[in-house]
Amino acid sequence: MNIQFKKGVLELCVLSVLSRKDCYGYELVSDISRHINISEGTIYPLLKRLKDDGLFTTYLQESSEGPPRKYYAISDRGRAYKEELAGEWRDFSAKVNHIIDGTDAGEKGMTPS
Amino acid sequence: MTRTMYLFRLRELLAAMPAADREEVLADINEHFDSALQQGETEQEIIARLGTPESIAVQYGYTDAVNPPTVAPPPVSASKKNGVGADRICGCIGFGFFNICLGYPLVFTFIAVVFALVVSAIAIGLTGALYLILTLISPLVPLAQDSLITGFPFAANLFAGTGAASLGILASIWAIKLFGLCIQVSVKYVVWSFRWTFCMKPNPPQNNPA
Repeated sequence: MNIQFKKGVLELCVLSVLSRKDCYGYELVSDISRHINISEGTIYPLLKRLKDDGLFTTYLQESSEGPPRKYYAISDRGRAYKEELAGEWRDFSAKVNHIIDGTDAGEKGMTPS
Repeated sequence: MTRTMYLFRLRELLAAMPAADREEVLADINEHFDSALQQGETEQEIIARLGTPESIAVQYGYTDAVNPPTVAPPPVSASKKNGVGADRICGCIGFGFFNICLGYPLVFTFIAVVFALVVSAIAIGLTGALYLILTLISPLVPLAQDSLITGFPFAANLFAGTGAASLGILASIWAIKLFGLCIQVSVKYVVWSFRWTFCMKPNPPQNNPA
């Protein structure tokens, strides 16, 4: 998959996963990697930037499997930003699909819808 | 590249980052390693999916990959320089000899002593109970009186039997608990020492690197 596509939507993906539940770093990376093939090291710099922007808070939680884990929790500001991004994405992707469909229709000699 | 080398290199690349931020970044990556290792991944698999330390440093805004080292590289033993973990193997062999000559005999002796305590406590309890029964039936069965202490009045025999039985029961309960604890500790020690002696894969490290 085009790496530029992935770079563009990674922020929205992180916000979307965290808007559903609090996650620790590895859990978040695993959730996203299941759907999109990414370099997992790209998540942590993104998390730091978004946390510095006030979109997340973090807290430590004891783990039965080892040392305490750092969990990320989305803030109200993060939720609002996520909704804004998601809306922009839906609008953008719909327009891109329209352009793609229109291009195909043009090549076939049909009038684009 | 190992986990330690990876984190050392990343620390080197982020040398210009504020110390608190740098330590947070390293803690995040270290936690990632811990979690992935718990899921059964190897260090090489984890590193392959994380990407190079240089690629991570670039994303934090530190594009200069050539940073002077601010911390001394970790000490490398002579045996590791030759590519052989001889010091580790020697340690395993030495520990194995210690266990064969001293460790395991001590463990088994300890188990035997506690087991002897259990048997003694049960024996005292059974003896006390039997004495008590003989005391109680002695007025009806004259033959039972031959088993009791000569010259002791009935009440004294009763108290002696009750006391011995009670002591035996209490001692048995505690001795059995102690025996169970002893067995648990001994099994854990034997398993742990066996793994160490045969240089099996250690548990995931818990501490952050220096």
